Amino acid sequence: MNTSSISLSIEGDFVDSFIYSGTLFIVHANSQLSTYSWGRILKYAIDQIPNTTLRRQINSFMFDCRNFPFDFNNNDPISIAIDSETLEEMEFSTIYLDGWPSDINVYGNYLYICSEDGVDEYDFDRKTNTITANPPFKIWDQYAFMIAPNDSHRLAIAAGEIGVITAFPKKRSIDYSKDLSILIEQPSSDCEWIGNNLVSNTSEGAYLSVFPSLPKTPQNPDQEYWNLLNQAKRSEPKTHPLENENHINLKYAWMAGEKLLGINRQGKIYTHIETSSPDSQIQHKERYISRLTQERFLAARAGSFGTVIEYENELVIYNESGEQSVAKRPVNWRVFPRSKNYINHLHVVENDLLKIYAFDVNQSNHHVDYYAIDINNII
Amino acid sequence: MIFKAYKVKNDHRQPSLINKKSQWTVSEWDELNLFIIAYNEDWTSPNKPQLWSTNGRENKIGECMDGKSLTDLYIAKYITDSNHHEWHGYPVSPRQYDIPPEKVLSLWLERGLIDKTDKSRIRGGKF
Repeated sequence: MNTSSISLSIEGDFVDSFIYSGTLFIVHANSQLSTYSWGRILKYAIDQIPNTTLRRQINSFMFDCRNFPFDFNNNDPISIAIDSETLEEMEFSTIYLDGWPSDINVYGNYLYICSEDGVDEYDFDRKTNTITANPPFKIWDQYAFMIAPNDSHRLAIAAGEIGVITAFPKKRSIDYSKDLSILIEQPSSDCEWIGNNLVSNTSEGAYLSVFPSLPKTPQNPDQEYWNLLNQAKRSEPKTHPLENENHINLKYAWMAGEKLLGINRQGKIYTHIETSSPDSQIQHKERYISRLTQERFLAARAGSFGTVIEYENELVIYNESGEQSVAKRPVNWRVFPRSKNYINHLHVVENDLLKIYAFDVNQSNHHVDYYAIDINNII
Repeated sequence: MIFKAYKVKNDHRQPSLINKKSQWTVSEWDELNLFIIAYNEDWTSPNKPQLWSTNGRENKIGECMDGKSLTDLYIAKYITDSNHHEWHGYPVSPRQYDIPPEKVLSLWLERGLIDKTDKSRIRGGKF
């Protein structure tokens, strides 16, 4: 398998990256987090391509994958690059962190930083691509491994031995007795919240929490709407361990749009289509991957191009066409499963560069790969 | 931090206890040597009487059970009873949330004991 892609390499000593609403976030190894205009970076990088039409097509495609007049079949693989000096000139805003974050995320105009000191929330101004100068707001003050933000300022935090907690801060305030609770008491360093489904990967296996839908925001929200919203936000989700057909707990799970994928301890990947019911069972598609039993599995996530699995020594993409190695022992990697523009992107931080892949989005014949997210149905 | 004595604890040197306690796979002298290096290099937790040590990713120092699998360990944690100033240590797994502080990981990275991928994975509980 060789899924077609365009790749942009950005030279530098980095540890993490994120893309959100036209802004590229990069965490440098010196714990500096900077923002850059994705449009400016693309323009500079793509200017290296001599063909004007191709240049315009690639620019449009990498800015929003729904613009795909770009034909992968008629073009050779395209790799573009930016050196570290050029990147520095494009810097928009910078904050200095106390150390490397364990996770970063950007959602609803907030930047979240997870670290050994907890979770800090920074205001982000998408119009200017900048992190505002206000000091961060501390949402959680103990070790945070991963954060999964969702609509209406709802957050799930994988907090290690404490488990998975949910937090519902209001503008720069949080009442610890009301707005914060432990959802799952099993130790966890990994969670993902897509739509109404929160997947928590714990030391005892994977759990699914199904949250009630939030009311739709009316054109002119009144008090009744806010009351309904607050009530819905505080409603308990239905949580259950994820099991295979033999009622054996899945070791790890992740979402691919509406699909739920999971692996068991015997090296099988399961794909389950319907996740809206808490009573549903995983039963649809199985695939045995011997490597899952032979090498240490670290994490998995999905994009429009398939599922990415991180093993101890390699990062591999799986889809129905096969598998493709992307990197050996990357420093970090990230996909954007809720992003309409960047659902086809894969960020891979290697020792001396950040490589951003934009994969072909041609999901032909209305068939969506079992291991991938449907670009027409992003939650 | 005061040091009066170091005690090699038997429960981390009894393979029959592997389901409950991590086990050293290096000699008692190596266990002590790792402690002395950590003490001299000030590989400490801020505000906690804890020391951390490693010989790097290539040099296994212990084992533990991770679910049903036996896992190799590369990081040692040393703690003390603050009343007695007697230290002891054991090998730990970041996957079980024993994670050295940022300050120590940065020093290990500078020394070349770990690389960027190791540091990132340790912080994320994936090492």
